[in-house]
Amino acid sequence: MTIDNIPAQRDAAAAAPANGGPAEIVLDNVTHWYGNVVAVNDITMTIGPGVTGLLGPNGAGKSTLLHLVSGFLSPSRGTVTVAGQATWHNPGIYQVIGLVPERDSVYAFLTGRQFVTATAKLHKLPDVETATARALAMVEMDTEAADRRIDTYSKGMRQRIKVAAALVHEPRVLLLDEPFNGMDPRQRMHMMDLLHRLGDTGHTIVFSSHILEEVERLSGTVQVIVSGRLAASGDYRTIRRLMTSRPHVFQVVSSDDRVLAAALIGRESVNGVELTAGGGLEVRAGDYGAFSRELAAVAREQGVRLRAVLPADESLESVFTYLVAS
Amino acid sequence: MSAVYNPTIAAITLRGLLGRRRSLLIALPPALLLALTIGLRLSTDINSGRDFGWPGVVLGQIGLVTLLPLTAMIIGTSVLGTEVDDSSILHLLATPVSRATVLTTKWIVASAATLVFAVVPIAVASFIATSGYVDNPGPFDTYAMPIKGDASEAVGVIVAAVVGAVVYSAFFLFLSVVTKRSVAVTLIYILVWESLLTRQVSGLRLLSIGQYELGLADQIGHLPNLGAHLTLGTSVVMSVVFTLFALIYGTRRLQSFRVSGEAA
Repeated sequence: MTIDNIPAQRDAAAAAPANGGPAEIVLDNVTHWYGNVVAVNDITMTIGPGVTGLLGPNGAGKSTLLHLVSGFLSPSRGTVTVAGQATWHNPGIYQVIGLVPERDSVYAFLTGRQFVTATAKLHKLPDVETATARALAMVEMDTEAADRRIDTYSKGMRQRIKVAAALVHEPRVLLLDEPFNGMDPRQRMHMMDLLHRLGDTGHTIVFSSHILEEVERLSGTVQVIVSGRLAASGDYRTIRRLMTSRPHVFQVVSSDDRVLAAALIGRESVNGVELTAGGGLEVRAGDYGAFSRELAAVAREQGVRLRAVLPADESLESVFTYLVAS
Repeated sequence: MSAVYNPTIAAITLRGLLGRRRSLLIALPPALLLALTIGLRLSTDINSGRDFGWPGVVLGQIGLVTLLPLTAMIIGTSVLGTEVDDSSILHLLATPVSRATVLTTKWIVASAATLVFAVVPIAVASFIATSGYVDNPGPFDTYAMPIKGDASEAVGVIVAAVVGAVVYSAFFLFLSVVTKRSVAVTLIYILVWESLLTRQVSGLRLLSIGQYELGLADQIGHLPNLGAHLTLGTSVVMSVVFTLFALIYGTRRLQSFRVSGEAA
């Protein structure tokens, strides 16, 4: 195959789902606990065709949710269905679902092509060779790399070969657990492009990520999971606005903290200022953008020298905690 | 009704088994048995009163009850346990192939590999050890002349080894599905349950695959010093029951495989 053939192959491969049209994922009051730990707590959601990102900090319950949808965990309470079928104890559901697990474990002694071919055979596809070639082309692995053993692959290549195996039977639903881990920027771009095209052609694509930017670039619809609960759901831009307009806390160290505090508290963009015990200020900014622009000007007006300005709550967890509170 | 055997799963399983460095261990127990048997055969006269009886000990207690299960353990835990441990089994389970087919295919591969790597060497060792053996002269029959050795002793051991390979493989696959520490649990079964407890507590022998093997070898070949305690009928029935139990409950556990690695 020449490189010129690849886009056509990829476009053909990303055509509308072959096995019965779009499929919905429906979770109805789903709870799952491990012993005393509640991993997923009373989640109800419906995910339709297109690309949906499951966003949340590590340990939030995203993987548990994907495993519930993929039939590798049973709900302790509630029901999970894909295309109208229960996923637990139902191997037939894998005609509809393609799964890309997070763990890097694949049959490393096989070549990439052998791995995808074996998956095609397990799905009893009528034309194994064509399906394998199409799947490899979709992830740009239809090169000499396909005939190398998987244990010689980079992490990104392993991810791509796992995606090829998950796509070989043209599933209507594709579930990917942290699919961009280990990928270089070019591979990420390509994978995002592939998932976009699949989503645009009526496939239901769900991927998990703890990185805001990945979700922002890939997904129109977001389900934010925090501590096992569905914290926010819907259009990414709405959620992003909510995130950026939330109060931000800054640690500020200056040459005269009291003068700076007095000046800042009169500003609209500032909700509160506190002198901290070890020196410096803790400023709660109501408007992140306005405060960022005004701080230097206020300091200059007051003849105060700024020594340090540090955002105190930029961790993803704090963002998610705010979303839960909202 | 799902298929019993899937050639794709069998091919992956076999490549995984023979491709891993761990597989080098498979050849070790049978090599030890062959070396021991050849050494003893060269240095002893099995039909003398003094040396009489070692074939039963070597083939039975060492070959059938220790080396065969150790080989079956390495194979059985390799074909499924490692895949469960590292979750690569997900790539097989996330297909429409029934879990029963996955388990029975792996059982067939494990049994076949155990036949090749353990039963064949045991068969060779049996013929080396018992060729020219006087039929059951009794341990103190020092006056008996070696009249005519036949192959019945070896056949008994070989039949027992074949049955043992099949039953051990089913049981160790079952253990691989129900626990993440399958190697440790299997070793405890072989070294504590079979080699220690069932020898001391007669009631436990009904739950020992090694005892089924010894019962079969003793009843078919009448090789002395095997240390057999079960009858032929009991050995056959319990072998079938043990295998069916392991395959049926192993399948059920695999059907409920959870991605954490444990099945429930």
